[in-house]
Amino acid sequence: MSGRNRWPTLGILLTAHLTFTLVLWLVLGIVSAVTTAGLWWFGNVDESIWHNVATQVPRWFLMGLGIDAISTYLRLNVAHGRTRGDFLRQLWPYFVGLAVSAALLQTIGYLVEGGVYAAAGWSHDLPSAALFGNANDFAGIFATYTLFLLLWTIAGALVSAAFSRSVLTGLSTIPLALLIISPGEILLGPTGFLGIGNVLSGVGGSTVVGVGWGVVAAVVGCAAIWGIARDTPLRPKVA
Amino acid sequence: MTPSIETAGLTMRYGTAPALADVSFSLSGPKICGLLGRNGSGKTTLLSVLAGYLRQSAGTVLVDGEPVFENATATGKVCLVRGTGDASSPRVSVRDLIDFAGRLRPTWDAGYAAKLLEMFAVPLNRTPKTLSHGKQCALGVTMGLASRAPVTIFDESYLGLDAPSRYAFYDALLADVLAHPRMVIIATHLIEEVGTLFEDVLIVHDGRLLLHDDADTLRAAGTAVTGDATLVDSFTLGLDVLNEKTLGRTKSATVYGPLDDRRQAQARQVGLDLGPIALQDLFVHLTSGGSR
Repeated sequence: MSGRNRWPTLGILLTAHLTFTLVLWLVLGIVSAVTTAGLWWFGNVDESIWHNVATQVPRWFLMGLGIDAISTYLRLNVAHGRTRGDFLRQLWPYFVGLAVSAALLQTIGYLVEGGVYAAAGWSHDLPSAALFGNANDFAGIFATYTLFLLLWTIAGALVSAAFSRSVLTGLSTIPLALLIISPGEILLGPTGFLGIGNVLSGVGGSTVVGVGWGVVAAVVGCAAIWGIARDTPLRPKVA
Repeated sequence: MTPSIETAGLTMRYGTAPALADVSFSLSGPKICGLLGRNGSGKTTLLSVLAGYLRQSAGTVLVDGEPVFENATATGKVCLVRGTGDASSPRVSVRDLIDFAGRLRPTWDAGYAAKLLEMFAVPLNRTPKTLSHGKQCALGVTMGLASRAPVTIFDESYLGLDAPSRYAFYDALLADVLAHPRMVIIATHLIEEVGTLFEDVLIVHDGRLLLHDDADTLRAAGTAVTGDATLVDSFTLGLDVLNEKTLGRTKSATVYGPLDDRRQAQARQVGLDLGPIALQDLFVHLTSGGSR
C-alpha cells in the first residue's frame, strides 16, 4: 500500500492548506518589504520589521486552518466511510507538518531580512524580547515558531471541534483554548494578546517554563480534541 | 457481493426527544429499497445511524455482521448522500472534492464520476457554493453513484434536480446497479416517480418501523379499479377506497384489501380494469393517521 493511500487524510489536509500558507507568506513578505522601504525612505531602519509581521498575522492564520481542518475535513472523511478515529490519528502529524512548514517560512523571512539588513548596513535587532535571543538565531527562531504555531493550530481545531458538537460546548472550551495558546506569550514575549503577556512575563520567560508549558498545552489540546471529536455526531447540513 | 444490514431494537434520542424507537429489520443482497416516511418520521436519523454519522442511543446496527459506529470495516462499505451530500464543502472546488473522494474511498470510480459530472454539466473548476442547488444535488448523486459502495444510500439527494436530470439519474442508477450489483436505499417523497424501481419498501412513521415488505406484495395489498365512473362507484360501494381520480366519464379508484376471485370476475364481467395499487396511495393510507 502506498503512503498516499495509508495517510490519505494527512495528504489531503497538507495539500489543501500548504498552498494557502505559501501564498499568505508571500503576501506577508511583500508587506514587510514595503514597510521596511517606507521606513528607510522616511527615517531609520534599526530593528526587524519581519518580527512584527511574523508575530501577529501567522498565528491567526494557523488557527483558521485548525478550525478548517475540523469543520470541513472531518465531515468529508466520515462521508467517505472513514472513522473519526482514523481522521484524528492523521490530524496530529498534520498539526506538526503545518507548524513546521510555517515555522520554516517564518525563519526564511528572518534569514532574507537579515541578508538585506546586512547589505544595507542596518542593525537587525528584535523590537521585543523573545525566547530566541536575536534575529540571527535561526535554529532558535525555527524551534520557537514551530511550538508557537503548533499551539495556535491546536487551539483552533479544539474550538472548532467543540462548536461542531454544540454552541455551549464551544463556548465552554474557549478558556481552555486561551490556556493552550498562552505559552506563546513566553515563547515570543508579550505580543499584546488579551494583555496576558505582561502577566506571564512576570511568571518567567525561561526556556524550560515556556517550552515545558507549551508541550504540555499541546498534549492537553490534542487529548481534548480526541475526547470531543471521537464520537461527534454528523448532523445534516442546514440548507 | 451480498451486502446485508441488520438492526435490532434500534433507538435514537436527541436529548430526551425520541427520533427512533425499537426499529428492527434486515436487508440483504443487491437490490433497490425504498425508505418512505412523512416529514419528521425519522428517515434521515435512521439512515445517518446506518452510515455511522450518528451513534444510536440503544440497539444494534450491523453491516455485513459488523457494528457500524466508528468501525472502518463497516463504514467503508456504506455511502450515504444526505441532501446535497456531506462529501462536499462550499469552499472546496469540485475538482478537489472528486480528488479527495478518490483518495479516501477505495471503491471510488474516477472515470465514472467524470462521466456523470459531464452528463449533469457540473463544472470542475467551480466551488459548490457558486453552483445552483440543482448542480449541487447532481454533485451529491455523483458522489453516491461513483462511490460504488456496497451499500449506497440516497436521502432525498436528487430532489433538487430538474425532471430530465432526475430521469437521467434513475437511468444511471439502474444501469450501474445492474453492472455493479449492490444495495441501494432511496429515501424519497417522490414515490410515484421512483416507486417502480423499488424491490423492497420500508415505511417509518413517528420513529417506528410501520412496514417492511417486498414491493410486489405491497402492490398486491390493494387494487386499482378503472372504468366507467358509474360502474366503478357501484363496484367499490362498501369497500375501503384510498384514492379516486376522475377524467371525464372514466374513473380510477384505489381499493385497499384483497379482492376475492368472485369480485375480480364480477369486475371483469362489467368491463372494469383491475391493476396493482400505487405505492403512494398505500403510503398515504398507512401514514395519514385516519385523516383520510
